[in-house]
Amino acid sequence: MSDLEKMQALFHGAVIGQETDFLSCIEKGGKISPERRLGIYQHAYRARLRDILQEDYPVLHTMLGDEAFHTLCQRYIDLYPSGHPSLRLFGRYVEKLVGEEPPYCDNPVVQEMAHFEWKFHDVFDAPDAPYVTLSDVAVLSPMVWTTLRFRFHPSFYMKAYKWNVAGVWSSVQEQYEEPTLPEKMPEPAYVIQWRYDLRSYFRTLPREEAAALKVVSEYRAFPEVCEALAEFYGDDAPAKAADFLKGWVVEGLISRLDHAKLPL
Amino acid sequence: MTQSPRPYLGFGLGLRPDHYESVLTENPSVDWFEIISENYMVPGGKPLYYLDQIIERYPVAMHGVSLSIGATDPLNMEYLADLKKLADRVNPSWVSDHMCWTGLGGHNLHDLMPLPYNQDTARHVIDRVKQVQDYLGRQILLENASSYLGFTNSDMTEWEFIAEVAEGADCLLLLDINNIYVSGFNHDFDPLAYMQAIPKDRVWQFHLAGHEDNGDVLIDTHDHPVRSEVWDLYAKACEIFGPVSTMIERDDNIPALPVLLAELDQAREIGEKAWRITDTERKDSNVRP
Repeated sequence: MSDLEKMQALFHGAVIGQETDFLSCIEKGGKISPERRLGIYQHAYRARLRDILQEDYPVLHTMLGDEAFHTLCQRYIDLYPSGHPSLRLFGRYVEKLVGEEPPYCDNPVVQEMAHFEWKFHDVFDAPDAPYVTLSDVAVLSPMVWTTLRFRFHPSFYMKAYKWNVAGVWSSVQEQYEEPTLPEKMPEPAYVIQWRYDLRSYFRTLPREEAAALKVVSEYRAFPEVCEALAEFYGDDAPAKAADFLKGWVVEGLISRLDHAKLPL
Repeated sequence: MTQSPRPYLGFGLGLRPDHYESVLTENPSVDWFEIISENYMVPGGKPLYYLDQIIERYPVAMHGVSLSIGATDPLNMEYLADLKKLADRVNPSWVSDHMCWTGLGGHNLHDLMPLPYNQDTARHVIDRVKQVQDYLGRQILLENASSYLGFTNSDMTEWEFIAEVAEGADCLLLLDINNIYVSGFNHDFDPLAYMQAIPKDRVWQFHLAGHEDNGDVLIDTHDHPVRSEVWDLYAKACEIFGPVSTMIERDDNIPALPVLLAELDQAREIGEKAWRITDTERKDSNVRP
């Protein structure tokens, strides 16, 4: 091991909070002590990582309160040191920590909120892709609808939550006068998150729309979307499916229409 | 690599998301922008959307924070591949990073950690800079970082070390005038002696930024306007080095664009006075040192 390697190991250890004799490597003299000099790096390390967690998890922070969130940050910084050159990805394992460690793991809404907030990251950075427009749909030949399938925009994400995390998130971020308190819903509800024209969006799906969108997400054809909706709407299912499709296109969820080629 | 003549881009700003819209709609009088490379090493979305439009209108330089050129870990080839991919997209005026290390054992501290200044470290850094330059197919600029501690096994000054690395690796330099001031205060050295010892033709860029004064220690925070002591030092730097592309680097507590433009005008006034650039010459993009 070279001297440089030894020094970096000692310095690195001291910064992340290990007991090392790095202080003896610091030149003495000047206006401040070696302890204070090292302290600047130690403080900056934790402050920078805590700041990024606060930025990434604003509602989790509010839910836990300053003190508990600070404790969570300290624990996370110790357990999940940054393994990526980009600081942007530092907070990606918070959901894992709160799912494994007491007291957080006894509080499932915390885990679901961590998951929901982190997904905004993936939505924000997802690859770009074109959006299908209503005109693209309008020009489709009636013959292709039997094989019509859809590709979501790469930013699209859909997940069933047991807790009302989307409602709580809006309530905190938009500072509702009467805050929405976390509660377990009678049955899980699907929430979608996506990016359209550079903005990130989310909304909770009604049961019927969730059933239809789930079929779409499995890359199944439009008639199967209608079948899934028949349970709710009977003979009106095709019209309802067309309405939903129109909404998804307008919202920017769909990036591509695939269908069998028509015979010439 | 053959040393190209120093290009002169004029007076620029760090491109920050807060200003994306203003830059596109107001076409501010900024000669060029510097981007933080890592913020654009992403699959898609807002940063790349704006960047693609801004590179059509302004010269852009890439400035990284994660190269970790002084680390003893192997070079992160995945990072370098992403950096090269971004450089291919941006076609930057140049690519820079810092004279520092940022982590160990694959663990990133996300800070610009100082190096001991001695021949062993210089050889280590020179070897890595050469590898990076070969991989990227271009010379890189390395910036002097602010530091708060020195090492018992340093036997060179910071400026001797930087000069040694720059000559040994045939790389270029980005001098952060604020960092020279901050480190000069923290380590009791003379910033003028520092600047006079730096190989002039290798300095392609100046940074200006604000710092926090804690009485007995200065912290390089980049969240304040440039302080008068740093403006004074910048005026000296302009005399010593001649026309060098200059930019203001604000990373936190970011004000509205007009505030930074006013600060940039101050830099322009100092630089152009030192270099006696006239209005006519300014319009000529071929102004060279």
